[in-house]
Amino acid sequence: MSGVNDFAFKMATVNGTGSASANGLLMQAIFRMGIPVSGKNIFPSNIQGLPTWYEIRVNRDGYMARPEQIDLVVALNTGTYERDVAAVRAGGYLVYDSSWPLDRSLIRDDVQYLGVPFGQLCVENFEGDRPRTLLRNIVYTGTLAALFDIDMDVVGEMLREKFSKKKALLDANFRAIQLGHDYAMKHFDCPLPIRLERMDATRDSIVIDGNTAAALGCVFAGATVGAWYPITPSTSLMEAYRTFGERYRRDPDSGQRRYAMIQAEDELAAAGMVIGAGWAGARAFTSTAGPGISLMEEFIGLAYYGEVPCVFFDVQRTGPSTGMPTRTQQGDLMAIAYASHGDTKHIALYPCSPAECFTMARDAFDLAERYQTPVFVVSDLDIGMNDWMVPRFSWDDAYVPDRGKVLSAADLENVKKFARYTDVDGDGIPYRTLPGVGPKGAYFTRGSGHDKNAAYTEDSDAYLELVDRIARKIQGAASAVPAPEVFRQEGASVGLVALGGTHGALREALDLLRAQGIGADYMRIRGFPFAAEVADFLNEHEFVFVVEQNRDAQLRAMLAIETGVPRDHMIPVLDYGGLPLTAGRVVGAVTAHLEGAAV
Amino acid sequence: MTTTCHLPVLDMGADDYVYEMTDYEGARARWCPGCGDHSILTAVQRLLAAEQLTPENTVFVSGIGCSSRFPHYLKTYGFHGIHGRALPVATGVRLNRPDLTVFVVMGDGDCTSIGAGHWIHALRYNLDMVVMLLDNGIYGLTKQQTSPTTPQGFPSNTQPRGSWLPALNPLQVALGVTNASFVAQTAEWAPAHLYATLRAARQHRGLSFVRILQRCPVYSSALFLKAVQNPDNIGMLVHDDGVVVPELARLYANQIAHDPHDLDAARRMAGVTDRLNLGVFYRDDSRPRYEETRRVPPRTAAERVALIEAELDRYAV
Ligand SMILES: Cc1ncc(C[n+]2csc(CCOP(=O)(O)OP(=O)(O)O)c2C)c(N)n1
Ligand SMILES: [Mg+2]
Repeated sequence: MSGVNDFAFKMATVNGTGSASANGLLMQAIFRMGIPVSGKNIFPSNIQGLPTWYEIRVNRDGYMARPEQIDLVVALNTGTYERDVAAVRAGGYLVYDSSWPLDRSLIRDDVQYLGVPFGQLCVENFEGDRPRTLLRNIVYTGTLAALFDIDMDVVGEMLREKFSKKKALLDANFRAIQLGHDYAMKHFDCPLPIRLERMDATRDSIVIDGNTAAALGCVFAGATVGAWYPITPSTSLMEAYRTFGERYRRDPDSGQRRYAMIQAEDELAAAGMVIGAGWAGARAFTSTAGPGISLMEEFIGLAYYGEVPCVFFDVQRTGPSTGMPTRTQQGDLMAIAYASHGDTKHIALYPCSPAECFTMARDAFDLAERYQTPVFVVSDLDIGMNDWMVPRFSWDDAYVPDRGKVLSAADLENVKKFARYTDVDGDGIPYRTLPGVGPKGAYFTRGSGHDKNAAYTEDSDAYLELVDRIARKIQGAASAVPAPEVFRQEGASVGLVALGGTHGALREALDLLRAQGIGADYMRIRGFPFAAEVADFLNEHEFVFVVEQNRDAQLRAMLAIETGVPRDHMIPVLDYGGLPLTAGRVVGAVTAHLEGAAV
Repeated sequence: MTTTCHLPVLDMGADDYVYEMTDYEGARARWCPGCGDHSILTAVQRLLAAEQLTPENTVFVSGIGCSSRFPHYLKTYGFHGIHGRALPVATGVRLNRPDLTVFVVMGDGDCTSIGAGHWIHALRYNLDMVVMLLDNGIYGLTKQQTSPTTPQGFPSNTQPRGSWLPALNPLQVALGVTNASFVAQTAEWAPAHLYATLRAARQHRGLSFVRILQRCPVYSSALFLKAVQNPDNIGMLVHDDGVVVPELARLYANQIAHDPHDLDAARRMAGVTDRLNLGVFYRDDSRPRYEETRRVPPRTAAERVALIEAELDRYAV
């Protein structure tokens, strides 16, 4: 039940009106009060004028998944009034702009209406259309601060940090906050029963989005070449990488950049550039979304067959085709696992949060170089673009990049003959050299049929030897990708399986199920090819629920293909409308099935 | 956002039905206030009405970008495809249905970056269609990245300190493609010229490539400021085979006589950097058009039967 430090609210606005920064401010203020908080931006594929929502969930127990119900809506978009009024839970609140009367049809008797003349206050207090529009967001922030009992000192401190160099803006923002706050204090019974109380639960956490975290991971991992083509929701990863690069990858003396970036003419070219750079010895990466992956497929096959290390971030959005570019999904799982024509299979990592975007960026480069193959970090819009509260990042300063089997000039001295694609060590991983290392190391890379000496071949046996070795090599990575995380409960009767950003909803669902007397084990898969523990978990349970965000149960299909576990052993729980998963959705599906099974 | 587009249900019994501009209006345009695309849409609606193009025989094909929303806002057939690939789709439509009037709408990223390969080849195929490049010198929809036509030094999210490379000149590219047959430039803030240019493009037989300079009020508002504020920074190419808009002669004092049949002169005009030249740079109506490959001499029924029988005879054993 909602109450102190346990509620959810959302702001309904029009995009392009500057509400994003006010919403970010609210979320951070709550975080600074030590209370666990999460925010989800539900925005349109448009520059100005379409509906946007920002949902904030406050939860003292740390549940961060998308909330099941909304206690309070700030309705500032007349275009979506009807929907927004309907979204309030029974007994909840609607904050609206009372500068204009509310249509009678919008009145629900199980909702409390809190009218604030936002528009009028802004007209009376500020000059100019744009400032008025922008400051309206700060006025409602002030109102919410009063309603929820947000610490005004914290808000003030944040405004000062933000506008420290812009005195006029600082003053206007302070005025705006105060206007909204004072109005609420005077007219409403503040604070509401849904309100905040200081806690000390965020001290060891940070607030960050997955794309920024991934970019930071790339910098820490020593990535030096990034090539991409802009596409939502992956663009901010490259923008963050550039920001970090400018800050941390410039020679302090000469100013020389020690990293290179190129916005390519398209994704196809971006993939080629990354492959070229990886071949030449760089830790190179690209970041894209589904449409980009589709365009990169031919090159991905080349990197797989030519055995070139490279890293791809896929920040998934709702497909197929252009789909819903600003909504989330896990729709590229299969497209990535088996990307490109012919027999291929790729190493993939599935971060569940920005924290894992950070660590898995590093893992991806290590695996790409160790296995000499493309590695994919499969993120999504919810992880990539929303702000998440995650444990403070730590970094092992002793970290040494795993460059894999690269022969140095000295190594080459000691080999009789260098054969690029020979399985010297029996692990399926050959040795490679980098251009310039010495005449003995030179070899020829091709996507056409080749033998273990890298020579062209049309000979079946030579071809088979090579592709079978690659298959062994990739399968070997099953034990090197991050192992699945398994949560067991005493006397669990069922198992749940999921991957990626649905983790928060799954953890919460486990608790909700337990409260209903249903004990469940849970496995979160973190890498592909699947580790042996994955099949073990499936087999240990009479049946499992596979929870994923796509229509066609792609993860379940991959599990069936890779482990041989029959499909009817795995009950699909699918949620693919484009919004982050809620715990209730999982609980509903599981209980419905169990009840059905009991009949 | 859900938008549905219905073709106008008209009283088709009336052969003399006259289409009004409003007959071509589709969903309400969702571009930002002040976006140049609005004015291009109006010019196109005016053109459709002037040419009395039947909505159901008119097709607008686009890629992805703000500008590629164009077909949503028209009540004709529309095809909003994928980023950079409008031209191959339009090529397929046109090859199969030469009776349809085909328009293509692309943004500068759409056409000159991701779609550059198709652009060059479509110019060479020279199918009869009007191809509009809505060039705002920036990636709009993805929020302000450098495009190939972003001027050198212009800041964006790609290169906050300014674009490193000089901009690609789409006119020079088009004029460099063998078999290109119509290349023009106009500007969204000169509606009369825009309309006249589109009309000339529509009347040309072959692929008419029209670059339309378009302001993005959010991300590249300063781009054409010099030319917008001072008409002296614009050169109007005039010729009887190009476009002549007499009422603009007073505003645009630089009236430059330019024969659009002269390719060398066209290339020189396209390379000018101290002003913006608007008008038809080049046209050649005699260029081969790929759809003509389908035009074979008609056969009689008896000839067709004889051919089929001869074909079957080859399999007799
Ligand atoms: C394959 C693919 N890559 C990237 C994108 C993302 N994207 C959509 S529109 C666009 C560029 C928009 O710029 P432009 O073509 O100039 O059109 P404008 O929005 O400026 O009108 C990009 C990169 C996509 N939709 N598909
Ligand atoms: Mg553009």
